[in-house]
Formats: sequence, C-alpha cells, structure tokens
Amino acid sequence: MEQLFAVKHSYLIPLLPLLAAAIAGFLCTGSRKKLAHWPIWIGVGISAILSVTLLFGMASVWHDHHGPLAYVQNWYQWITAGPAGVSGTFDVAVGFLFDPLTAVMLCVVTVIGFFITVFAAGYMKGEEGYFRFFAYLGMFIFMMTMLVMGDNFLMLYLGWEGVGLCSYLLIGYYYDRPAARDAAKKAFIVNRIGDFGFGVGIMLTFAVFGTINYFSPDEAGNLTGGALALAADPNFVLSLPEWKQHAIQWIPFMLMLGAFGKSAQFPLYVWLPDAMEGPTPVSALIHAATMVTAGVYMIARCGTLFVGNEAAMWTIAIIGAFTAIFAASIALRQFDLKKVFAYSTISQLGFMFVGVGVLAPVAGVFHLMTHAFFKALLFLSSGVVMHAMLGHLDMRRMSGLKAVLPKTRWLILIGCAALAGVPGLSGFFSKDEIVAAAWHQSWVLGLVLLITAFMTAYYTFRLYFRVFEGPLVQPDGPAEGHSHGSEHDDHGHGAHGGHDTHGHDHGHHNHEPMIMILPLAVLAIGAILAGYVNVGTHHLGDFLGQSPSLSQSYLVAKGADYEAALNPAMFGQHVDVHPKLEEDLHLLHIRMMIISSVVALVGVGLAMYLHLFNRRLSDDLVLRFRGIARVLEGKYWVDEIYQGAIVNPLRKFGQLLYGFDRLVIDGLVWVAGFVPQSAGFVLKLTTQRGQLQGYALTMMLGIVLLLVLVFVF
Amino acid sequence: MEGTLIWLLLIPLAGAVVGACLQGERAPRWWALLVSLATAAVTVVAACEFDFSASGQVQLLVSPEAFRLPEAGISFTLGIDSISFWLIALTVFLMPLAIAASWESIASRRKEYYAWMLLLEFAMLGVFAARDLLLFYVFFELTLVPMFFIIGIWGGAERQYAALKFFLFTFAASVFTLAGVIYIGTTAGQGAVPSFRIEDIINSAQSGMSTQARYWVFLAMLAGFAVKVPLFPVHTWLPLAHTEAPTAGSVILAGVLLKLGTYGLLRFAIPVGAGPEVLGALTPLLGVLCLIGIIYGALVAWVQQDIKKLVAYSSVSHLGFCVLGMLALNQTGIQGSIMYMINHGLSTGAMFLVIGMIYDRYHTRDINQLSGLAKQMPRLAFFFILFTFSSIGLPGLNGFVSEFLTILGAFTSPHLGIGYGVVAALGIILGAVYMLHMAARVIFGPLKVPQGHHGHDDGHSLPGDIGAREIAVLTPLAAAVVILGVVPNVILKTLEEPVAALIPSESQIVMVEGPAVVSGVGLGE
Repeated sequence: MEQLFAVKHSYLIPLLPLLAAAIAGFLCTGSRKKLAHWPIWIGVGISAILSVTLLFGMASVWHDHHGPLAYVQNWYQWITAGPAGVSGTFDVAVGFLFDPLTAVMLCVVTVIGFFITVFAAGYMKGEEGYFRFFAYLGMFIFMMTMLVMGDNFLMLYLGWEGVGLCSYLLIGYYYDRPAARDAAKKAFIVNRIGDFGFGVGIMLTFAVFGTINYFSPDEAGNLTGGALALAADPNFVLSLPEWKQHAIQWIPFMLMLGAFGKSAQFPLYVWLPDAMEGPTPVSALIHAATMVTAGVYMIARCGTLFVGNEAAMWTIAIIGAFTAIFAASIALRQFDLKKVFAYSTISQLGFMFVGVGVLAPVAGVFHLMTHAFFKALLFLSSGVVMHAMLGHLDMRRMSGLKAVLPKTRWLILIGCAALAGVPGLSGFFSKDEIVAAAWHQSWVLGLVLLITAFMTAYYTFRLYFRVFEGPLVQPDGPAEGHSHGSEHDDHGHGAHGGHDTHGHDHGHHNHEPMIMILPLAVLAIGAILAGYVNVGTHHLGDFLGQSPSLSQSYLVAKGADYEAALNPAMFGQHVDVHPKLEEDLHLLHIRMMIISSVVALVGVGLAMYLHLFNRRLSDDLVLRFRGIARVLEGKYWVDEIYQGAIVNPLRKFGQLLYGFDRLVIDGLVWVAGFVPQSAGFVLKLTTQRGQLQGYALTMMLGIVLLLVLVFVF
Repeated sequence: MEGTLIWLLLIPLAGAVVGACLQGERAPRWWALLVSLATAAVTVVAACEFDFSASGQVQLLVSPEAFRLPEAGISFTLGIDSISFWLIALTVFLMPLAIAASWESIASRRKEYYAWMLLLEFAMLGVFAARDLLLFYVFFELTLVPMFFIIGIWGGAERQYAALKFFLFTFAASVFTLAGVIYIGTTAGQGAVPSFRIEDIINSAQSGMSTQARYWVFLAMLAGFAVKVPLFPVHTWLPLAHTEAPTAGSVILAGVLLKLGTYGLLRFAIPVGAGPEVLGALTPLLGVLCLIGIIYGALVAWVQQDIKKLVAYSSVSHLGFCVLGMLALNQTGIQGSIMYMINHGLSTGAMFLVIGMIYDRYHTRDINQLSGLAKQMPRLAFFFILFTFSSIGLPGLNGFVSEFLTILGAFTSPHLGIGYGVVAALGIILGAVYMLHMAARVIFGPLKVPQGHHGHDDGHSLPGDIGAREIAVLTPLAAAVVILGVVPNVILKTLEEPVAALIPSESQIVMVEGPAVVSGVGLGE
C-alpha cells in the first residue's frame, strides 16, 4: 500500500487545505477578497482527488489480495517526554494510519467539503468577512483530515479540538450578533466538557498500555503494537496487574464522553441547535456532514477497546437510541428550517451511535456516509431558501415555494426522501442496516428506532409540504435585525452587514444561481445512489471490515459466532461465518426493510395529509394537545435547566470565592505574620514609617553592599 | 566568546547604568531596545556554544578569581544547563518585546523606567545563570527592586499599595528562604567553611543532612518560592500587582518573575526535599494546594470585571498546573512543568500585551465597557484569539503540550495519582470557560464605545487597529506559540537529561505503592 501515490504524499491531503487557508486568510484581504475561494477550491479540490485515489488504490490492493489493510506512516516525533524508546516514556508522533475506515472518512470529508466550498462561494458572495470564512473552512478541512488520518489518540485529540476551534470561529462568524457569539462559546465549552473525558481516557490508555498509538508495526511490519492492537491481545491483557485490567474497562466510558460532546448526544447535545447561528454552508459541512460524525468515527476507530466491553456498548446504544427519539420529538414542533434539520442531525447521529453500539460499526459508518450526502443537501437547500427569502426561515411564514424555487424544490425533495427513509434512496438502506442490527441485539432498541424513523419521516415531510407545496406565501421584506443570513446579499452591499434593508424585489433576481445549484445536484445524486455501495454485495462493508479497528465487529455483523469473533485470540484471524446465523440475519434484514418502508411511507403520508391536504386539522390537533406541543416547542427546557442548575450556581460560587479571596485569604495572610514581620523590618531599617522608597533603597543598598563584598574579597 | 555568561549579565547591567545617564526623551527607549537586543544576541552566542547533546551538564561555567570569597564559601559562579538556558532564552525574548510595548505608553520619566527594566533583566538572567546558592538568592531578591519601582511609579491608580504589597509579601517570605539558604550553606561546606556551590548543597542535602533538617530547609525554601509562584493560598499579592503594573511590568512579572519561584522550587527545593520522608510526605498536600489553585483561580478569574485581573487570576490557575507537574516527580511531569514555565511566559505575556494595547486605546479594562473590538480592530482580534486559544491549551499551540504533560505526569505519578490528574483535567474545562467568556465579551458582540470615551482624542472617531510597531511586538510571540505547539520537541528533547538528573534516584521513587504514608518525620506530631 505504501507504493500508492496518495499514501507516499499523504501529507498533501491535510497540508494543501491548510496552505490554502493561510493564503485566503492572510493574502486575500482588502481588494483581493473576492478571490478568497480560489485557494480553497484548489487546495480542497486536490485534497479530494487525492483522497479518492487513495480510496480506489486501497480498494484495488484489497482486491488483489484479500486480508487486513492497514499502513502506518510516521512523519516526526511530536511530543517526547523522557528518554526515547524506553518503556514508560511518553512519546507520540505526528503520523498517519491508512486503513479503509480512514479512506472512507477522508473521502466523505474532502469530497463533500469540496462541493460545499463551491456552494459557499455563491452563498457568501459579497460578505464582508468572505476571506475569513474561506480561511476557516480551509483550516477546518485541515483539522478534520488530521482527525481521521492520525495514527494515535493525541492526533485524534488535535484534530478533535482543532475542528472545535473552527466550529467556534464559524458559528461565531457573525460575531457582532450576541446570539452567534454565545452559541460559539457554548459549542466550545460543551465540547470541552466532553474533551475532559476524552483527555482522561487518553491518559488512562497511556497508563495502561504505555503507548497511545492505535497500531504500531513490529519489526516484521505487522501491526501488533499500539494500544488498540494490545487491547485485542489476550496475553497482554491478562498479564496486566489487576488495577490496569480494571482501568481498561473505564477507558471506553471516558472516551465516549468526548464522543457524546462532539457528536451532540444526550446530555451534551445542547450546543448543536444553537450552532445553526453560523452561515448555512457551515451548518451543512461541520454541523451535519463531517465534524459531528467524529464521535462515531472515534468509537469505530477504537473498536477493539469497545467491543469486548458490554457495559460500554450498551451505554452507547442506549444513549444513542434515547438521543434519536428525544431529538426527533423536538424536531416535530420546530418551525425554523435549520432548527428542524439540526434536531434531525442529532437524531440521526443517535442512529449511528446505536449502530456502533450494537456491534455494527460498519452500518454506523455507512449511515454516516449517506447522511453526509443528504443532510448536506438539505442544509444547503434550506440555505437557498433563506437566501431567496431574505433571511427568513420560519416555515409558518412561507408556503408553496415550488413556484419560486423550482430546482431547489426537487433537490430538497430528494434530500427529504432520503432522510425519511423512502425505499430506494440512500438513507433507507443505511438506516435499515442499523435498525436490523439493533433489533438483533434487543427488540426494544429496534422498536425505539422504528418509532424514531416514523417521526423522522413525518417531520421531514411536514417541512417539505409546508414550505414547498400548497398556496404560494412569501414573507414580506427581509428578516428583522440580525436573523439568519440577512447579511447575505448578492449585490455587493456586503459592507452594510445585517442592516441592509434596501427594497428587494423577488422577481428580479435569480434565486438559484448555478454555482449553488450544481453542487446541490451532485449531493442529490449522492443522496440517491450512495446507498447502493453497500446493498446486495456489501462492498463498502466488506472493505471497511478490513480495518483492524473494525474487523471484530464486522465478523459479528456478518454472522460469525459472537464468542469466536470477539475472542481476542482470533483477532486478525479468519473466523468462519455461521451459516445459520448468516441466514437469520439476512432474513431479519429483509423483514426490517419491509417494516421500515411501511413506517416511512406512513409517516410521509401522514405528513401529506396534515400539512398539504388538511392543514387546518393539524392546527386543531396542536390546540387540542397544547401541553405536549408546548413541551416540545420548549425543547424540554433542557437549556434552562442547565443554566439554572449548573452555570448560574457555578458563577455564584465563583463570586463567592472572589469575595472570600479578597476578605478572608488576603486578610489572613496579612495578619498571619507577613505584616507584623515586615513592619518590624520597616521600622528597623527606616526611621519613618511609610517611606517605602527609602526602604527599598536601603534594601537595594544592602544587596549592593553584599555584591561588593563578594566581588572584593 | 570568553565568558559568554559574564557578557550576558554585564550588557544589561552596563546598559542600565549608561541608560540612567542618558539625556533626551527618545534616546532611553532606543538604548534600552538596543541593549536588550544585544543581550538576546549574546544568548544566541551562548546557544551556539552550548552543547545540547550534553544538555544535562552545567556548561559555559565561569567563576572569576577576583570574585571569590573562599572563607565564606561564596563565589560568583555562573553556568547553565538546558533548563537555565531555556528560561534565559525566554527572558531575553520577552524583554525587547516588553520594551517595544512600552514605547508610547510610558510617557513620563522614561530614562529611569528603561534603566529599571534593564536592571531587572540583569537580575533575572543572574537568577537563571547562578551556580551559587547565595548568588542566586542575591539576584532573586534584586529582581524585587526594579519591579517595585516599575509598579510603584508607572502603575495604575493603586500602584503604590500594589507595589508595597508585592514587595512586602515576596520579600518577607523570602527571608525564610534566606534562613534556609544560610543554614544549608553552612552544613554543605567542609569543616567550618561553608559552601554555597549548588552541587555541594545538593550533595549535602542528599547525604549528610538529617531528615529533620532537610524538612525544615525544604519548608523554608518553599515559603519564599511558593509566594513567588504563587501557590494558593499565598497568591493574593499577584492579582493586585499584575493589575496595577504597567503593561511591560505585567508581561515580565507573569512571563519571567513568577518562574523564579518555580525555578527555585525545581532547582533547590525539590532536590533538597527529595525522598520519602520530606517530599514523599508533603507532595500529597502540596498537590492538593495546586489543585485548589487550579480550580479556585479559574473560578475567580471567571467573575472578574477587569480583564487584566482576569488574566492575573488565570495565572494562579496556570501555575497550579506547573507546580503540580513538578510534584509528580517523574520525567513527564517535570518536563511538562518546565515547558509550562516557558509557555505560560509566552502566552500570558502576550495576553497582557494585547490587553495593554486595548487599554492604550480605550483607557478601560472593564469587561462591561468593552465589546465587539473585532469590528474595529481585526488584527488585534486575531492575536487576541490566538493567544486565548494558546492559553486554553488548544492542541497545535504551545499551551497544550505543557498542560497535557503536567496532567499526565500527575496522573501517572506514584506520589499523586489518577485522582489528581482527573481534578486537574477539570481545570481545562474551566480554562475554556473564563477565557472564552472574556473573548466573547471583549472581542465579539456588538461594538461598544466605552463610556467617557466620547470627546477623547479627536472627537468621534474610535481608535484604530494596532499599528506596525504593535504587530512587530506580537508577531514573534505568535510565531513562538505556533512553533512550540507544532514542534515542542525542540525544547523537550533537550530537557530530558537535566530532568533525569533532578529526579530522585530509583530507590526513592519506588517507595510509594499507593497512598504515601510516611511516619517518623519528626514534625512534632
């Protein structure tokens, strides 16, 4: 594999976007602002091409000789504390790991990232901070590629916090809006709470394994070293002292805290809906398609640490399922297009967590990939709507937009159908795999996911029928004040910022410029077809299963004997698939496909009835169930609870401590000896109290005297 | 160059003396800048002469015959290992920047000001280069004098009280240190002649002295150093001094002066106290003080109205990490701790510079009066955010490396353990809380004109963005912050040997399996 061009020159994949970001950020200022998208297009574009060639190159290597695929590449030692090469030394390199999981993730990040940057050039046209925006995007792609390519936990952490930084900067892109500013801060801090767990997990990993590399090659080049390989090695694990064997059990719980933060799972999901304050391409790229899936990637990557730990796996699956249904229920009663999709993203991420939690990480990653296409498509389409509606996103104020936005209407319909799980589209296949795997573990999980799927179909098409079908209604005038995207103004009045309230005539402008529609079309094709890479022949799954991180759970999902596949002794070995189990699983899949098709179509049908044919009935229903509606619209008041139960008391406590600091500690320290003592000195050394300069000078003289004494004698 | 270290000290000292005699308004600052740059150049020479492959050995030793006092065991001996070298490098790096930052903001009594600054540089370099404990102590105390005047004359509204408090606190505490120094010096020599050579001191402490004596000497040294660091609960001089000092004073105070305390702890207190009876018994307690400092400093920083005070309290939190790593007494923790000294000097120094630039323009540091500066000052905002994230410990920037290593050191240390690591890690959440709180209020949000700013300068126009001089001050710091985050091994590798030499020998490490329970210390329990 090391012969592949993309592997040999893998540093280009992250570095080109970084270089592009530097060019856009530092050089494309002032009058060159309009050119800022070019370096990013080129940098991310080449990066995307390299990623795709990497994927195909690896696939052809795999095709030639089946077997585990992984290759580690070290660039330089990053942090070394202690003598190098000695056990117990903390020594971590900037290095890349290439396996199918990395390759697939890279393609998702760079390819979808590229199309979003194309879209963004149209969407952000005329913005004051155009160059800044593109510089952040480039930096984001850099950090995200580092995240998925890194070959050790600290590289993962680097990318992890790095994308957090970019997310912070991009959510706060309209930094003069208090809402954006607060959302940015919240996103970073909530993520930091998760990263606390992540960091402790890394340290525990180091304490237990003495290394934080995922896999490191031995002399023969086999990846037998490294924490993830050792975790799957029974001889190693059993040779550990008891406290370390105990500690191993805790590592997944610590790491998953990080994953819950980054991937917006309960209880750390609260930052993601607020993150919609960022420009829509950011919501599409970072807060739907790529960054938020990093948690899923992490758990898939650390498969060998997680799979044997049933408590951890159940925790993940249960949290995922709960988040899925919880967020979907909130999405039922949201009116802001982007908010609906934000809660939908949280919910879909919950599906992916269930996937990795029920030993079907391949399904989880598959859903991650399809979701990246259709959710990016949905967000960007709602960006087009927002662009055309002058910043309005409230679905109560618009209807029948298919007349105004004919192309967008079809694009968003494809996205909605894929999200709703309409048979034949990508979301259907990937969601179905997760539901089946969940059902296989526990019918309760499966049922929860099916109910969530029903709600998903309903709220997705509620949005579609409300906004695009029915009689034409458009909001008058631009959105008030600083509401979403009112800055966007395709006439070059960017300098006016959000206060641009000049008369805008709907008819005069093309609301669907090609630069925005073309990338959407590509994403739409992806949303339709992406499912077929893993249908029937399971190419994607078989390929991903060659990742050393995934091989164990891949075998389980294929129907291998659970015990045999998870037996660490069999790690990396060929395990026979149980024919009966395989057959059962296959049947289960078919059944689930039928059930979930019905569920999705009923959901769509209900939405069509309530929001297209009989809108009045839906309004009546809301009135009748006022209480429930209010709870959902209030988002269960989780934000308020956090504010009241954690943030405010903590701040009060800080104020209390500050008072304590000034009155008590300071007073005590003064009284406890410093003052009397020093006063004594002062009195002795100077005749007059209070002449401190005199005192200091005396002191100084004393020192000089001492120096002179030293020098002279 | 013969006697490089002598030159290193002589140049700022002579510069201070000459500078004090200069005439004119502009000459002193140019002179000071020139001298500080020349000092930096000498450091580069020293770096070339220093053999980094033997970084654990004391090199470039000079001990002029003329300045020896054999009867008293005192000598003017200078020498550096890589720990000293990097702290010297930090000092000479920050000094020209601090001087350049004072360019406009120090308008009165410039001659004196720059003379004090150069004298301060002399004293700080002396602390790091001294190989004689008494000499170290003399330099250590000498730093107080220039800083006292810098705060007391050029400081803010409460400058006199702040200077007094700063002086009395640190001076009074270091009297104990002096007692310890003299005691250990008399025991270290042969016969009746004392010796203050660092090697003799440490040898004597580790072989000749009774446990009880070491215990008390350790505590005596700790008294002076802990106040300087400052450790909770003797930190209360710091917020006031930092807030009232002029910008350059705060930069040097946070950047270098606090490190005199940690350096003293590392160089003298820890070797003297090494072993289960002294450090083994005290590290759990001192570790708890560090943890309290981390959490307490962060929470108090969060509620500050004055952004300079916010950063000052953040130092209490940061230095808690630094000392915690040191107390881990393992390679990871101590190397991390030394990195922490350097990184904290860079990022907090930089933060004070940026805040100073804001203050120069708006004449306020009130978090309620400042808002949305990014709109008015995008370049300043860039640096502000960069240094904020360096301070928060974003991987890829310098702060992360040291923060991670110190926590990891505590986490894996047999003296401290997982609990200490976990609590310290909570500090990284709070670090983000208070720093981003400040960034959100000051840099982001709607642009706000501070009250009372109307009619200032030429009426309505708001002050502009930072200019070329200010960019030139911040850019080297920004570069250092990035470089030390990307390739920290440049420094870390060279710290391996001297740290290994500092760590108590094997027999002393093995002692604790589980909680350190040591009895028979003779503390009169």
